[in-house]
Amino acid sequence: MLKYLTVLLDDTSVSFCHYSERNRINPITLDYLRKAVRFAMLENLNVQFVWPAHQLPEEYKDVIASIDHTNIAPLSLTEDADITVLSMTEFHQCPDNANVVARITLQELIEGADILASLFSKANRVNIVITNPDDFHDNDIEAYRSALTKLSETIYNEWASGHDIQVNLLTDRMLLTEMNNCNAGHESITLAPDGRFYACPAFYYGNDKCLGSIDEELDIKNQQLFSLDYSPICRKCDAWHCRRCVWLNKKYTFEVNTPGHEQCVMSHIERQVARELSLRIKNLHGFTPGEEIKELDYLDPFDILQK
Amino acid sequence: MAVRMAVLDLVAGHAHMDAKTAVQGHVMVLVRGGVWVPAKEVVQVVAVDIATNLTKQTGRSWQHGLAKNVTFIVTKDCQLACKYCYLVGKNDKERLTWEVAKSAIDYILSRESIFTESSVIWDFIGGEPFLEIELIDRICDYIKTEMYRLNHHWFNSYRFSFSTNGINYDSPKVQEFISKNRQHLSIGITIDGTKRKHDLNRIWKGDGPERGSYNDVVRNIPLWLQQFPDGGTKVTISSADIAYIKESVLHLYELGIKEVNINVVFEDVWKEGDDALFEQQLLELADEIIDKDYYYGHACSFFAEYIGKPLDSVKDNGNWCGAGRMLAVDAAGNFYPCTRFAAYSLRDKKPIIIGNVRDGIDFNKLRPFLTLDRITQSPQKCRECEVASGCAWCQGENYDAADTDTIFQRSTAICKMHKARVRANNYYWNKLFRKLEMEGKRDEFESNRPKHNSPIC
Amino acid sequence: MRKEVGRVTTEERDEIQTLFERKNGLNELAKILTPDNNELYEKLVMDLGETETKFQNWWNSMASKYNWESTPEGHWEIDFNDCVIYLVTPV
Repeated sequence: MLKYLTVLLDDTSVSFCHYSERNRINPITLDYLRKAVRFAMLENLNVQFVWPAHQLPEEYKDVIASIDHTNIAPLSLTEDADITVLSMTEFHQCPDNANVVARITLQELIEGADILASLFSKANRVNIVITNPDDFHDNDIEAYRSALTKLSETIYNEWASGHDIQVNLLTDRMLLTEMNNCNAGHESITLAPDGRFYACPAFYYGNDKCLGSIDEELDIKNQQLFSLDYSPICRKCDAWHCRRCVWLNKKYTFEVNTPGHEQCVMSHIERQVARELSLRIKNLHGFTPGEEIKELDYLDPFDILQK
Repeated sequence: MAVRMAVLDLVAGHAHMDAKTAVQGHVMVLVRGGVWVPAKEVVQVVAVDIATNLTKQTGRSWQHGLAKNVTFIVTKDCQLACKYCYLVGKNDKERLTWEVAKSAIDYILSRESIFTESSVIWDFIGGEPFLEIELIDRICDYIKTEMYRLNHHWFNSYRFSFSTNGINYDSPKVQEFISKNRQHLSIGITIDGTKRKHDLNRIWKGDGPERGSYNDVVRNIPLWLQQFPDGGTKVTISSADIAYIKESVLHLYELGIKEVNINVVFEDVWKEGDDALFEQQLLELADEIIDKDYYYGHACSFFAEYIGKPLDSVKDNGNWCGAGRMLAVDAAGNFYPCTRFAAYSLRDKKPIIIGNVRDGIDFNKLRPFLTLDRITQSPQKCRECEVASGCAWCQGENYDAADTDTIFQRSTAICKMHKARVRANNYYWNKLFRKLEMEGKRDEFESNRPKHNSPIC
Repeated sequence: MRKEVGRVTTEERDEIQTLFERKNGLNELAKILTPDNNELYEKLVMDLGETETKFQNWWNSMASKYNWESTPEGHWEIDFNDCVIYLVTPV
């Protein structure tokens, strides 16, 4: 069931995930914006507006203000942002107690985990987004594990000092008791500046097929395939924090319901390091946050399904 | 026996004078027809193994359907232009080259750790594969030599498989090839039944008045059956053919073909009332088979006792076909999970290419195929269907007909036809069992009934 | 006439089936390999002999192990599907 509507206010709206936004300004029309707000009200959806760095006309802001919403915005608009998106060069400007998206390349994460860790003392929550997941291969497994282990050390120290920082890749799995994924296409839908619906912004920027339009109707054919129950690999998996990115699924395997090997492996490395962190935190606090994370002898649940 | 046992897998012990002491006798193997010859001269013992994609109803798939299937799309050309052919992109330009074929073989045979299946079926498909018999011969020689040179485990368990229109079956080159590879061949000739049924769809390519191909095929049936006595044929039924089902199956029996494998086309071609007509034809066919005792020596895949039962959502959750467990290669050197995903097979969708001979297989592209199950791709009506067993699907057709670019949406175009088949099938078995009981032959029938294997495509 | 006289284990069946398949493979390879191909040809010739011997040994050893019924004119066959051994005699 749909719960969220993400509205891209411009083609240059800041990317908060794996995809890249466009460089050329192309704002959503006021008409589409009004229709989006009305649609969200009628369908009882939570709205997330994704902001570009440039200023939008005042009348846009009036329409946006007419509905309860969440703002995802670049650093330049952080004062009004519920979630601030930071690139690596902006990490040092992280606002205090903020909920941030930290976008970083795989290589930057592996080589410069310290820079990322510097965010943890300031923010309340850090969603780490790797901007080039395509570059991950099996020969990066150890380096990725090592980088996450370094981050987990920082997280442990923060928790030890009384600052229970949340970091999506490591603490979410500790706290969750069931799958909590992106759910694009299943629980959330994106309206792009072209007035069309997409499963998520990445499908829009990737020139994929739309799922209807605000002028006509939302038309998600085979919508069940976006849900967990229709994913033979994911429904057996307990990497509950995994983004389960349907866009990456489509890119890697041609199917939105089937994750590629790399996404599964990365999530399971995160799960492994989260497990180790949870055991340390248990010693620190005397309790395990969430359920105990069991030890696994595989990194890709696909391998288990094939046995 | 109602249906003959899979004699293809019979091998004799030594010629036995005194089993306790004799070692000097020749090793003997069974050749169809009961003739025994010394092993050194034997060439035919495993010759009879119809193409695995024809055998899902009869339980005679080689190695229980667990063999790796590697398909070479040797040509997209064919002498015929069958009206029901799913190959929308046939042409005489795209022919597999030796270089591409060799690259594919080298890639596959050098990766024994990936291709771990204990057996392999090297499948040659077209168009009409025998149009490229010289290339095929070279490919097969290379495969045999390389499997042996590399000590590949497949050398101990392989077949070369063909599904042909039969037109140039008697040509010297094809016959020479058969003679050379006899023990590892599986050849199915497609003949649709009576002349009028066959010629309705299987017509010669080209301009001018329609010309059926029945006479050009049927003349080769005796030779084929002489070489492959258990050879089966595949009959395809579309809307226009329904009225000829009974006469066609019986005609094929009369020609000496003892195994007739039939399926209705998976495409959405069915008209109102087709199911009733289909059921009527099957009922009449059932009467003929039972009343004239054909069931003792002949098989027709329409009648299988396992079909028409509810399926368990957990235990019976396998995929129907082997898409993804197969590997097809075309003239461009692209790999596909099954030939049905190549461009020439698809009406509305882009091909699904899972790699190529240069870069190898992209295993991420195989993951959907290898995790696909019945429940995930089936709509609610199929999940709840009380006569679900035996209701087939073609993964390629599912993909082609799907609302989105997915293999996870099952086409239900044959739903009414399956239900008609189930009713006729129920009638067949009820009638047959009653007859056998009345004649006191039920036990004999049960002890010789064919075994059913997991279906593969 | 064909009469069931025994059964072997699946492992034993697998053994003879592999030998049978190998023998067939070697025989057909022999049709295309020529002595020019020194390395493979020599290997093939040796392999043919060895496989033939193993094949015969299997029957000898199974006959000894199971003591199957026999007749002077008969021979045994195995059905690879169900591991059953038959005694086949001329009618």
